[in-house]
Amino acid sequence: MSNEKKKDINVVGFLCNWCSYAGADMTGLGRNIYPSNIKIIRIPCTGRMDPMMIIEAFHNGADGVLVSGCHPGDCHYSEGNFYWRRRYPHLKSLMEHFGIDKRRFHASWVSASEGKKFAEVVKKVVADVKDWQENG
Amino acid sequence: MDKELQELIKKLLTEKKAEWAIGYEKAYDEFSTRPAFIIDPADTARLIFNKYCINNLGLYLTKLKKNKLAVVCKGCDIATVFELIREKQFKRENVAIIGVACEGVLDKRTNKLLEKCENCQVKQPKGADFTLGNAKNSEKPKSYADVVEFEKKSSKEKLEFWNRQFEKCIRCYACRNVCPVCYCPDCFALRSMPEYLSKHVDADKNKLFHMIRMQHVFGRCTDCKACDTACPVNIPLSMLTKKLAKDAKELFNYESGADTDARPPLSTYDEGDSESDIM
Repeated sequence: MSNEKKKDINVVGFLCNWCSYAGADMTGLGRNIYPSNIKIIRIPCTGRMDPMMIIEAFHNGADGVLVSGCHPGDCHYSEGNFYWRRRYPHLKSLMEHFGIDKRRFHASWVSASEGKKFAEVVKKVVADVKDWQENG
Repeated sequence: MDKELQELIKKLLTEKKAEWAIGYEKAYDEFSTRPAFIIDPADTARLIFNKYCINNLGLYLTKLKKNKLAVVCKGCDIATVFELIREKQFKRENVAIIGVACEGVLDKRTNKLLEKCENCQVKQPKGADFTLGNAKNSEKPKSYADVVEFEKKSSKEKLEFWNRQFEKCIRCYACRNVCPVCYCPDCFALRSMPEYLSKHVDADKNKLFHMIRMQHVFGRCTDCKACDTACPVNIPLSMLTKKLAKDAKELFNYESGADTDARPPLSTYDEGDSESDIM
């Protein structure tokens, strides 16, 4: 019960139901190892990603946010991720302006078969957040 | 110019080309003006236009549920009216835009020219139905120097800067109420299901409010600086709206209020959009 226990990194992952969520499943099936710091929330599509939810995640103490969806052109709803692709750079730029470091906010394309890639993406995100925490 | 303005509005009202006219009138002292809503042609003598006419009258177009309106606009306010038309809030033919040439407006608190007026490209209004007066546009382009300077700071410094600013905020919602494009009848800030924002006022929650508001007006904000001038505690909201305008220009080559038929950047897409940052 020591109070010196280091606070764990908390990354919120918003994964699209059709690709990335299945991709995360595939990561487990393939026995790929990735950091357990990510807490996954399933969303129907990256096009549903309301920027308010990301802002709220940061506000409620998330160290990092990852939004992951289907590759462009593979969207289950044909065009959801195209809208997300436009929203992302604007949101990232605005967050940076408000003082949320760019290392804390990431997006990726992970398809249902890319278990290995998902593990790598999470490793990269957690490493980036760690870098931000340690080096400011 | 006041005489011409009064004559024109009198004509519009008597010919029934407009039910209501929105303009400026003198308020309690010589440095103050307030919006005037004219129904009776005999009342037009109240109307004036001078360098203290700071309000953006585009705000009232969505608030008045009238069929035909005439509105007095400075060059910069016309962008607001066009943006509202683009959002299909009313039809172009139902609003008569009276553009007035403007040499810049003064903030009566400091008696200085507003920062937005320094490099103004629309001193002579563009796209109005009637234009009164003559003014020469600035030759220099709009400058984003202060935003670029701010962007160079580290994220820690930015965070500290905004925390200090939003500690002052009393969440009076003046910025939202005065914003012409913030016309949602059910604002997220007042909603309790789901409650995005508690009613408790502290620096953290104030920042959340401003972040979400800025995100909501992206691609719609015409950078009219109404929020900045309305703020009772002088939070530099223009630093945020300017950033939005800069982002829209740089990321999507879009300028809000320029074209009534354009699609706003976030409600359309292009298959060739860049994805440099996405893993």
